[in-house]
Amino acid sequence: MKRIYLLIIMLVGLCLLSARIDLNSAGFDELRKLPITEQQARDIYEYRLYVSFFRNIFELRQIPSIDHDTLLRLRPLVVVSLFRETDEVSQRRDEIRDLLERLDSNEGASEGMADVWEDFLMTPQNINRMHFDDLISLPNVSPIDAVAVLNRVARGDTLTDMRSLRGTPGISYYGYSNLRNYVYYKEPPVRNRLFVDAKIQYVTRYFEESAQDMYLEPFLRNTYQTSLVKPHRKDLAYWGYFNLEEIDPNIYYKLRMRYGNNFKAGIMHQMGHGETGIQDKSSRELWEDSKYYVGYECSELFNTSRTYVPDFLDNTQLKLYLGHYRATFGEGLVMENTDFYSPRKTGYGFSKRILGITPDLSRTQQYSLRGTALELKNPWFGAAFFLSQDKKDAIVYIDANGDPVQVNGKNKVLSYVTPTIRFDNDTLREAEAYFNTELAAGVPYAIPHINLAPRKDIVDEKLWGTRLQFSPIIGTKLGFTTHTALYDDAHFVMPDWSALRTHIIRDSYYYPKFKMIDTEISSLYSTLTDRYERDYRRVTGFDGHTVIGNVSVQGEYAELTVDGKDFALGDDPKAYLVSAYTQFENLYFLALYRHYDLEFDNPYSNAFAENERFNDTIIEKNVYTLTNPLMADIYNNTSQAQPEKGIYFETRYRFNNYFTVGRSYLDIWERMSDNRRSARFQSELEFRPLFQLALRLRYKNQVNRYDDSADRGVSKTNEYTLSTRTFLSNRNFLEFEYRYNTVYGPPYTSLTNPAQPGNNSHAAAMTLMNGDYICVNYTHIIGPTLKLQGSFVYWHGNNISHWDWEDMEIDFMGEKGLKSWISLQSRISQNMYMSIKYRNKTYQTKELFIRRYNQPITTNNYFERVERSENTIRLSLDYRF
Amino acid sequence: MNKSIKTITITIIIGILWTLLSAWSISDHQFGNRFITFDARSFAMGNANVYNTGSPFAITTNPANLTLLRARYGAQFGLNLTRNEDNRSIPLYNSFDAYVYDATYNSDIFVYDDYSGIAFAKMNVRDNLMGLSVFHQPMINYDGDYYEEVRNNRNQDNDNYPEVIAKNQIKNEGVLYQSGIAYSWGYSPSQHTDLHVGLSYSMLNGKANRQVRINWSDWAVNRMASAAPATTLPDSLFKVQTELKGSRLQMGSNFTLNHRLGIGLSYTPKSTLDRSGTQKIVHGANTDETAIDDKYILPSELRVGFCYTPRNVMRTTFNLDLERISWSDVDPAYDDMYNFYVGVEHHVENRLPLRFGFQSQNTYHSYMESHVVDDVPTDVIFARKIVTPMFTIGSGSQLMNNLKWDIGLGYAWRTYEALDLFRDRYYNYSQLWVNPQYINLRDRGWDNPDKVRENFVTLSTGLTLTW
Repeated sequence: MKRIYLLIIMLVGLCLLSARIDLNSAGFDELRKLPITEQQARDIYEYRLYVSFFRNIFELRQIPSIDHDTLLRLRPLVVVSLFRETDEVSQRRDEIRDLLERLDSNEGASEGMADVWEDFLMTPQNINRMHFDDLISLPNVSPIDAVAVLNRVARGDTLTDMRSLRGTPGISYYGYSNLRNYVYYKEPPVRNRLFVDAKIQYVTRYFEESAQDMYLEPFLRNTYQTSLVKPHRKDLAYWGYFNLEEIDPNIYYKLRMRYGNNFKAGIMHQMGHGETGIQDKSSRELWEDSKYYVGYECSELFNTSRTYVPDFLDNTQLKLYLGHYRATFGEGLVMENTDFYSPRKTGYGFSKRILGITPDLSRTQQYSLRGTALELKNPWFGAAFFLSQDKKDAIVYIDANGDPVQVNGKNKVLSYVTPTIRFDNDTLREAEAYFNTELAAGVPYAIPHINLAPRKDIVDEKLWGTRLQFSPIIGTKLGFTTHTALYDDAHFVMPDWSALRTHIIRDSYYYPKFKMIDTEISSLYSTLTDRYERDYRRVTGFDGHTVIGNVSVQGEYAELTVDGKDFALGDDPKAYLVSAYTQFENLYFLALYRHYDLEFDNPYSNAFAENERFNDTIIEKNVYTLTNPLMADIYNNTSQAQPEKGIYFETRYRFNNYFTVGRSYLDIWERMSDNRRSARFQSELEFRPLFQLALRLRYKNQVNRYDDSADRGVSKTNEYTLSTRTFLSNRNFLEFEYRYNTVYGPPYTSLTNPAQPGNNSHAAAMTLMNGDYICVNYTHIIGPTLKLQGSFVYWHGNNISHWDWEDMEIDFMGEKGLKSWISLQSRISQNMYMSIKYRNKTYQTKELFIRRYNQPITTNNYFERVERSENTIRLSLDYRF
Repeated sequence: MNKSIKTITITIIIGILWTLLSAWSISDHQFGNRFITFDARSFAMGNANVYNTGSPFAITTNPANLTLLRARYGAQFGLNLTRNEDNRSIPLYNSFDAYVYDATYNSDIFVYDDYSGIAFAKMNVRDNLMGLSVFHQPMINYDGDYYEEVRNNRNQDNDNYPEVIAKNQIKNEGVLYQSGIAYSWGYSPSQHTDLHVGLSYSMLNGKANRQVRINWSDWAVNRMASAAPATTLPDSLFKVQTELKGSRLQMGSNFTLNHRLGIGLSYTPKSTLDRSGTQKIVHGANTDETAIDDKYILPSELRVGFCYTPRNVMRTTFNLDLERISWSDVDPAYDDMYNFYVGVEHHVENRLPLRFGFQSQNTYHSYMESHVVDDVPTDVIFARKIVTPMFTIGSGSQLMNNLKWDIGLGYAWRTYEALDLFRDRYYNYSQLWVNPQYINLRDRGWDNPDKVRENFVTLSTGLTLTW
């Protein structure tokens, strides 16, 4: 009988429960049946629809129109069923959201690498099947960490979870904590499916100072300041001619699609400031100026469970790409194709290379590779073959009509160039013809017409390359890489010293400015010389890497074929680099030696360097002397290292929870062009008495030409920075930073001249400049989907250039001024992100030249400061699913 | 026309003839300042509102928004305040890297205000919805001011006082008002699926006046009167007064796909307005007056956009519009252009909204230049594109059950080059200048134009009453 009662009670209970309304599934009409107003029913319905499913009944109080009494009234009438909306992809994206944001914020620096890492964050790799190259390509994973993992797997262990990864003998905490997000152990967190990433970015950007100076240089008939025949005319400079003053946004579109990590496709287009818009481009131009790829990747090419497949083919990976791809091998001496230079790229820590073939939607245009690439590799062997055919921009010798000068039936070319603005060739020719009318009327020893000019897509470059790699034991590999660029329609020609300077420099008055360091220009590679004529440029090299205990040694040697044989060592211009790295739990130490010959001119190299090629040469320092100021882009956008040799040490040491010596380094190097020796040292000490508070002290010192203080090129820089970082509740963040700099430099006219006419010879031994800088950064989390960031900077430069790492980019600031920016990052939905950043920079600069009104300047020159104000906006919309 | 008057006219107006209808910004595009909306909420969301469920003023962007509105009856009142700052400098280029770049020679700041109102009513008949709305709002504002002083070159660096030689002024006034009626029909077969079609017709009436004045200072007049030979300096005035009349048709539709996504589209055909009035030139005792009777064309506009309301911890609405303006309707010298508008609203806490957005508008600045074509001097019209980016931010509050207050702030800026507004040759009297050897008063052409930097701070606010 008791059972019957119990059953009846349960049935009644069930009936009562079933009569209750489920807040997470009831329709609006059902909710209206509850003893609440229509507005309250609508509020509940919309809360569920547009804010969140209910986790419990008390969440009803989140709705403004539901008061406590209403809640009590509803309590017996409603139930809340368990409901989860997020799928595994959204869940995974939430888990790695901070990392994705960090990668996105590094987009400017890592140039496309963020795409590869983002893919691996979303769809991680199986750690038990990864290769040495896969592991060391991940950020902050050292070769020693990689070997620790591989050794454990080779012993037959299977890494089953994060804890087992942490327990791997030899792995560092940093290696583990960075590796764990890029890998899975048993089952991937997300099954294979279609992933799409669409992005639009709108940026009103100002040119960097060097590019601005280049475009502002006028073509005036003059005899070095003694007479200017024309009044100041804006249309005699590229800046005025092309109306670069006007706001012209950069618009960047990117669409990537992939099915798991197997099938991949993408397309990207960037419209830069001053360039033709998409709507005005022909379909052919659009195709030429866009980047795209389709690719297939397979992580298990062979099934070794079948008897006819030998065991050594186990774990063989295949990558096949059509379209644009990146190729990076070794230390980047033979092949690492990018348009972007980053100093001190060690290949360790966050300064990584992604080895092998990867798809490419980066903003690199000049040194992009377009064609086919195939990569096959397993733990023992690796091979890659790549072919590319793409038209490249170059500085070309032109005649009075603007036509390329021909030599032996081919266009005569001075150098590759990555133009800041990729003007159309016809537009450039019109501009040059306009400027030539002025030059033709110039004094006898000035050039009568422009004879060197950039031309878009003028060199049809066919490139092929091979990479072979052998890895006899875990953590040890030997590689061989070669590539050959073929030129069917161009001859790179470098005249002798005196002929070259007359081509580059506008008149004889400035010829003495062509100095020893400019041998970097005269040493550019030629395909046509007195000794040989050929139609290619070939670079060959080999590299090695080994890990012994907790020491990793790696290096690369490369030669550019000039006079010697392709495979003979030492007979041609060479470059080599060797580094050793060791790590302990709280310490790492890196030593690196590099040597790059002056004549080693490989545009596809992107190795470690302190300075970029052509730094300090006439095309950087004296743009006004150039026959065509646009040549300065050879320096402005170079990605090659400056020919130098030197030794570099880097370390980081964490004493305890309170004290850490942050990334510190010492670099001592010698520039090959003029044997100038320099040293640079930076160290950072962090004291963290509480978790929420960190105090940092950073010191930087750089001395150029330390071996000869009598030389004009000497300079000594000291920089002291003190910052306090406060980690507030709710992940809010506040930072104060103060920096003080001193620079000893030679007596430049602009520093030592009194503002009076005729004082160009003031005597001074050395000039001491000092400047300081104060900065406040603040991050406020307004809500789980909305973040506000802002910064305020005030600086006083006194001719010292300050720098500020601003959100996504580095900004250089001279003279004095203030800058503030604010950015709002909004997660609109689980798939959609939007951010807006506004920046104002108001500063003084020494650009005012007092003059007679509407009259040419004669002899009295006065420099004064003038205020400038710049507004920048960046809008980014990102949709991922 | 009297010959001297003609010469003076050319001198004064050659640089401004093609900006006869400018607004806020003195050298703004030919079509004044076009209001996108008087709805402060939409304004704070970057003016993206072609699909809008909550703001009556959105009816003026897309009449189909009328039946999309949630309320049955309502009215909205809007206020727009705009502060324009105009800085002009002479970007000169000379030997190497020493160029005059941003040294402002004239700076003006003015504030303008505009008001508008709209009312609507809506009814449901089963699955059908019908709505009617009346509105009155400024559609284009032609207000604009410019003031500069011509000062002597009396070695200011030695603490001398540079006398005022002349005062130059441009004063534009006028608003084109839009008084209209909108009708919309909607069909809603289910709760989150509906289709709306709307049509609006409005009368356009307004005026656009321009006054350009050069007044010599007493100092200059006296100095020239006492010079040998004595010269009279008469003031100059160029005045245009016009009335604009016409009508405007607009049609639109909205489609709600589901509870998350709605798509909107609106199209406004080209409108041709009658422009009539007078043009008067006064130079001293001489006066010349001519009648104006021509057409004024408003280009056709096509706007598409969507509204997305995801499920988000902070209730969120996202709007994005793309607009095509067929400038080629006005003149073949113009290319059609695209503007885009994007905005987000997050309910940070208990219906406290935080809105922000961005818009990029492309307009034209046109000018006339004389060129020799087949050996004949010919006036050629050039049109140059100006991009004006603006970011916006705003919020609002529910004051009473049916009464809502919204506020939006916008900041926009732009830089471009323009011809000198008052040509220098007009002041070429050597006796006026203390250091005449240092001044060369000839007209600056496009080889040495003004560099103009402008910024706009706009406040949009309003009350919405619905029930």
